[in-house]
Amino acid sequence: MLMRTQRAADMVSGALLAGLGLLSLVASLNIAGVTGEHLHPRTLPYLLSLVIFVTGLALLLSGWRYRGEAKIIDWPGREGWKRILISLASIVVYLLLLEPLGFTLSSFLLLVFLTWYLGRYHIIFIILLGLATAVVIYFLFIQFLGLTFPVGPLGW
Amino acid sequence: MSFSWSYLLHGFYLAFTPLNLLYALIGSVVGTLVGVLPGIGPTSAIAILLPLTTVLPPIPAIIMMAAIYYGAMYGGSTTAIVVNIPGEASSVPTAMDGYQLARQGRGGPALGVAAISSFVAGTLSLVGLTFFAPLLANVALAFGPPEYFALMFMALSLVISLSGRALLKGLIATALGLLVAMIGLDPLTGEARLTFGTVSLMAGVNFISVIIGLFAIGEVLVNVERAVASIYENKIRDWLPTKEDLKQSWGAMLRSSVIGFFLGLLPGCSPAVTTFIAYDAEKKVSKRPHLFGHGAIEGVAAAEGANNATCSGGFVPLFSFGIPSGPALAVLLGGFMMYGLQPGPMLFKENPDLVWAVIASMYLGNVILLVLNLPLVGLWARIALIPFPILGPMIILFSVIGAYSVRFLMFDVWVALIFGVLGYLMRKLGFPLAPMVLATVLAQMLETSLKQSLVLSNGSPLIFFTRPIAAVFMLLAVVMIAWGLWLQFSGRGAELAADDSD
Repeated sequence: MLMRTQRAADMVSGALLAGLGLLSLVASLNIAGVTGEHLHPRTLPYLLSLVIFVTGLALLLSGWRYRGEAKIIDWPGREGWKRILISLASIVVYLLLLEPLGFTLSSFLLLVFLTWYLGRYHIIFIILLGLATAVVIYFLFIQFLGLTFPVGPLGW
Repeated sequence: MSFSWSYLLHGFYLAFTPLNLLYALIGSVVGTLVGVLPGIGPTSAIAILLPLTTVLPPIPAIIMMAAIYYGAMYGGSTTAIVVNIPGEASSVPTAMDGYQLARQGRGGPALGVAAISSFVAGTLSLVGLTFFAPLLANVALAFGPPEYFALMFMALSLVISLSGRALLKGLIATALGLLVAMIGLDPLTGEARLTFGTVSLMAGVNFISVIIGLFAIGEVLVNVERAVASIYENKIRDWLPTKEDLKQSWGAMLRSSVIGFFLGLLPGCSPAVTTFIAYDAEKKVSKRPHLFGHGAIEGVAAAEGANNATCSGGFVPLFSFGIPSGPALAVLLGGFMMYGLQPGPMLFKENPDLVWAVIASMYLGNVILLVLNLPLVGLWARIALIPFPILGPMIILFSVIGAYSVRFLMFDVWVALIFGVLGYLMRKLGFPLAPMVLATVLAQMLETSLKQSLVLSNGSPLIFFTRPIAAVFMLLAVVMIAWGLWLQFSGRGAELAADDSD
């Protein structure tokens, strides 16, 4: 795997950070400003981008020069990556459904799916749990605290 | 304005009003819960709840947030001792001795000593807070923008240099945190900065979303990759420590109170750091150091004492200067700002009710927590057994609610998710989270005080070196950074791994 050791990871993240620094350096230069200001709106972003560019390079370099014992990063195994990616994907789907389906319904779906996926409990138990949570959240946050969440076609 | 008993008494009067008492109780319960449950810490809990508290007046809201913070410090000990799961990074030393004691059948006394030590240290350092904070606020009154800028600059440098071996990464995290806070409109001129022409970015990146992402969602992702571990449970019979236990622990309680409180004043010294220091110190002065790690009750007392002392100590710089010493207090500072309150010397002048009610409520909270923790220990230990597949999705749900309700924008929720992934990667790659959070929260104050200073000096940055107090801070900051960098590059600090924080 690409960033198996801390050294490799430092070099990769250093390079990425230097790139990010460069990108925001260019973006900072494009910040318009008013003359006569003691601190131009672009000055701080410019300086910070420079710091990120330089420190990114330094990280890359220090990884390059590192000759000590290889430190293995505690990345998840194949199964772990699958769990993370599927969890992330379900969160993304949840966020995309939040507005069209409404907060309560989409939250119920997320709870049911994720709890089932991570825990493989009995489906009836999971549905009851999801239902209970969704109802509590609906009454606590929407009815009691009066937060305005997206409502779906059914009004909740 | 110096300390006055009438202020404190008035604070107690306010803290005892039913509404404030109720929220101190709610905060204590939620805090204990947060301390008990692995996968969610005080920082993410406060960040998630912060937007929701805006329906409350500021005093009960801040009382509740503070109670969550110090309540979590009590709760962490329970699971550390009973099931060897430290709910918080700061409970790791407690688990070392506490769990061994529990296996020897002395879990009860260990829990008792943990609760008593938390109470003693928490209360002692509250006394420190009560007398220290107004005194320091007086000093802070003499501060102008240059002194403030220099102080914040020093605070950030200190946090970076406390990133230890990952100093360079601490520096990067700080710069990234500041840069993220720059996105949006320039506070003075309204110029769009780093928005890449998108409208969503014009409103800026909200730091609450950043924190919810880094801490809550990032932590969930870390837990998702691991399958659920089986848990060995101990029976708790008797929680009363013997005379012998107390005799062995009282010294540790007092010493850790002092260590925790004074280190808690420094930015970067969050409980996760000071508990280890106090535990080590206790091991050094102990007559039976061989017992440490194998069930020394004074080890539990030291760790739990330092924990709570640091927590109260951190409120001193927050109240008197407006500088948070760790991530959890940084979020609390954000809470003040959401209410339009600016912690710092003027807070004592303009909102004495708030400051003193919160301080007084902390005395009450400590008593509430002692009562909550001693007899109910079995209940908390049981709650800790809620498996992660049930807990994780709920934390995600609460994170979304928290991020969304800051400004009721879906954009903020997406930001939280992105920072969640970033937080996961930062944990894995050894980037410290604390400097980034502190930087994001302090960025606006930092920029404003820099601008005001430059106006005062007609544009010359020399102002930070010609005013004595500012010059001292700047010098200290430069020395700390230079020293850290030297360590990093001289080979002594060349190890690339970082210690995880909070």
